[in-house]
Amino acid sequence: MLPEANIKPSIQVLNSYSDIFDARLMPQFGEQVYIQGVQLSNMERAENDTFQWIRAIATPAHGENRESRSTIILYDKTQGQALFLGIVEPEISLELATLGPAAILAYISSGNAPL
Amino acid sequence: MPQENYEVGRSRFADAIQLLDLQGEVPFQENEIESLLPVVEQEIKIKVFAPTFLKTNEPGFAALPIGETVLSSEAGGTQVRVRVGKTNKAAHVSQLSGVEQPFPYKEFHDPDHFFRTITSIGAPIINMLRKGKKTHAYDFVYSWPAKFFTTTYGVDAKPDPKMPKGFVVPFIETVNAGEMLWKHYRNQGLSIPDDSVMIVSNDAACGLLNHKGAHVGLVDGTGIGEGMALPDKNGIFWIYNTEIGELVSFPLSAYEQQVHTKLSINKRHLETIAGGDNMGEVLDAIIRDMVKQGIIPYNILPEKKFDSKYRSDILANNRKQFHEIFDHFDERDEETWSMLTEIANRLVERAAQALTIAQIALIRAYPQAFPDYEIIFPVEGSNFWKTVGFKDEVERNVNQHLTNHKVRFVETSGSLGAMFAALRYRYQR
Repeated sequence: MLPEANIKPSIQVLNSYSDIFDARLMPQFGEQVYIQGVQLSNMERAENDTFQWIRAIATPAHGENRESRSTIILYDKTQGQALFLGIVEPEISLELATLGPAAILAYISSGNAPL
Repeated sequence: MPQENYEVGRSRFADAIQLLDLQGEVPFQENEIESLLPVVEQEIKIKVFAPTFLKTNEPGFAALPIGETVLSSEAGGTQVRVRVGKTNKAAHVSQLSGVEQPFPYKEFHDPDHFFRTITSIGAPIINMLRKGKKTHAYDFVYSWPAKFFTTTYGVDAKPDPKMPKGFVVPFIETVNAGEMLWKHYRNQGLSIPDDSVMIVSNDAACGLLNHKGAHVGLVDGTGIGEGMALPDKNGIFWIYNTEIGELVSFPLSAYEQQVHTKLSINKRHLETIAGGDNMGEVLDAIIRDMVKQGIIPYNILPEKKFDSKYRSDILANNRKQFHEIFDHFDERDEETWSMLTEIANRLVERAAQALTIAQIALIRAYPQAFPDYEIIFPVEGSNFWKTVGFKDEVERNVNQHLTNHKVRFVETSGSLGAMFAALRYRYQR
């Protein structure tokens, strides 16, 4: 038989970044998730009328270099679009998270995002 | 609440159990599993394999130069995803930046409209790439039926005219998916070098490319798919899309049959029982029937429908969400909650059992793909990983039946596998 319904794994696996912003899913996922090869933890959330954004510790699940650094995920509530910044140094993500969505978008379109 | 009108002396919970039993919404019995196994094995052998789309000497790994980028695009049933990947020191591909967004609509004027929509969603990433080093490797995960073929630039696909999941794109069968994607990326100002590689693939087949030594990869999300690598006589592995969701040997319950008929998902019994979207439909059918019969004492609010998220809510004892769908729902109504829990458990158990049977049958049908004692089994999909206890149930049952193998399910990312395939093809060529 299946285990008791209230047993929850400590890390949840998500398919898509927009799931992190789904209020219905969050009670189950807590604040530590695994998405597409990256583990995210210690999420800090912010929001305005149009966007939500999360700054989190990001740890690659594959490869030799699994050093934890940082990332930002920006969610456009009007379009349902989620933008993943890539793994960056914590001071960069802190600055961008503080400045907000316009700065995050400008950082990506400027070609400064990890490439 | 109609609860008070329920016949004195009758238990709503007992009636719910009786109804589920009567409609065949019950776990498969051990003798039923034993008799299904050879039938499913035979069905897998004769009909579930779709055309080959990729070959590789050793599925999974090869030395690649560090720092090579790949642009990955994915169009599935709901989401468009565009991401950039890069090879790292361990010959893995790491995802860099990415964007994802649901399709804004499902009906398109023509193929140009469809592909322009996909590349427009990728615009933030394309703008970023335009300013960096040119990318020579591209992959496109096209999750609708298509015929895959090799070309001078890699692997492309000719879409089937009929697209499941409600999509309509007139004349889509007249184009090559990979070429069209390139065309619209170029229209956005992306410079694509002439020697670039494009690998179009199906999501089901990509998961295994991401794990060393894996010869099989399963997707269990909204639907079900499975890729498998089989060696030819020269020892070269060819990757096949098994279309395992099409297995029809599994007997359906009355509710599953109702959903199967309603959705016109002909000949997809396994996907009806174990695919996330269909399990949501079956949950809705059962609850509506119980409401109609007065067993569940709440009306379903207009234009509301149960889906797989509600199944997760039930199993996580997350009662708050049910105020949004049941009229005057009482969170303290333990009897109704016990019924919902029983329904969810039965759905999950049937799904886990059906998936278990299919995996055992696949391994038995193709022993040449599994020469080692340990089978690394990459799986992608929320249904498999997010449903509490599901993975453990399938893993335990598979290992109970396979005495000559030890199966270990691991999480995979088909998108990383697809990126890897494109980079690998570029250097193999």
